Amino acid sequence: MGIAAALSISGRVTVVDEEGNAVAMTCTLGPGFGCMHVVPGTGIILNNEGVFFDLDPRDGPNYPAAGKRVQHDMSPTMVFRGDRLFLALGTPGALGITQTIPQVISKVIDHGLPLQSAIESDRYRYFGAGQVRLGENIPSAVRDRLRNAGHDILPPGAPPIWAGGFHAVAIDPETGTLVGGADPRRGGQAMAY
Amino acid sequence: MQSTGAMPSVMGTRGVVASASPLASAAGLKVLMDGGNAVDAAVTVASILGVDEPYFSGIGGHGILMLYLADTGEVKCLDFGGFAPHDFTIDQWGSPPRYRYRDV
Repeated sequence: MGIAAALSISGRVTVVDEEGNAVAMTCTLGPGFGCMHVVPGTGIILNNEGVFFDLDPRDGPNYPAAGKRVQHDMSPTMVFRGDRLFLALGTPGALGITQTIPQVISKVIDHGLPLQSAIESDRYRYFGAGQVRLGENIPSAVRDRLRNAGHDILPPGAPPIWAGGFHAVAIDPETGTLVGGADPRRGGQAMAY
Repeated sequence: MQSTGAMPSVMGTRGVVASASPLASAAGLKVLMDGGNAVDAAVTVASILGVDEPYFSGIGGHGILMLYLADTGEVKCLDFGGFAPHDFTIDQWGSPPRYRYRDV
């Protein structure tokens, strides 16, 4: 698998309103500019999520068929404490999405990082066939251990868009304060009032 | 755990929008400030994203929306994914796939 091809790119939106309703949404054309086809006269670019169809294995979830939708990774996520919304977040990143979302959630819940720090901090991602990318600040001891275990550590890339581009909201469980976070890896912005 | 410290924390008490585009976030926040709800703001943000980042998402794209309704506590999921053509046959399959789930 070509590594560059593993990066899907998506718009994602996280919103909380005054009544406490929340939306976490990930939208995408699939690969950049979708299938490169514009509906004539409209400017509407058609998506190419069909790249996720896969002939192998034949009984796999993404074996192509008429009228079928692909199984994909878009995973806008909400985290609750009891019955109260605590986090709403999303990221692009194709096959990396289901790897990077738990990392950010864990940094907030298990490591107590503020939301923005959790978004900016280093991530890791497994690309299959023993290949791993690591954020540039992950200690060399960790790299050595992974290498010794047989992993191939790929260059981190700049910017490391393989790590996703999180946009997230946290609601302080005590004060109800709304906190927005955005990922400098892919631009974007949180705004609140 | 080192942070690059590239972006400020953003806080509020009444509404918050985070998106991949500052223009889209600003438009979404204005919808909230004008009395719109979270869905109104999300639709607005998605619309602007299709203009500011037309290569990433847009009306011809697809996606997933998670919705939390505060008054009932319900969580709903809207999957607006596209379908393969209904007259598709496997012999129409062209180039090899680019994404391999079985590898990851």
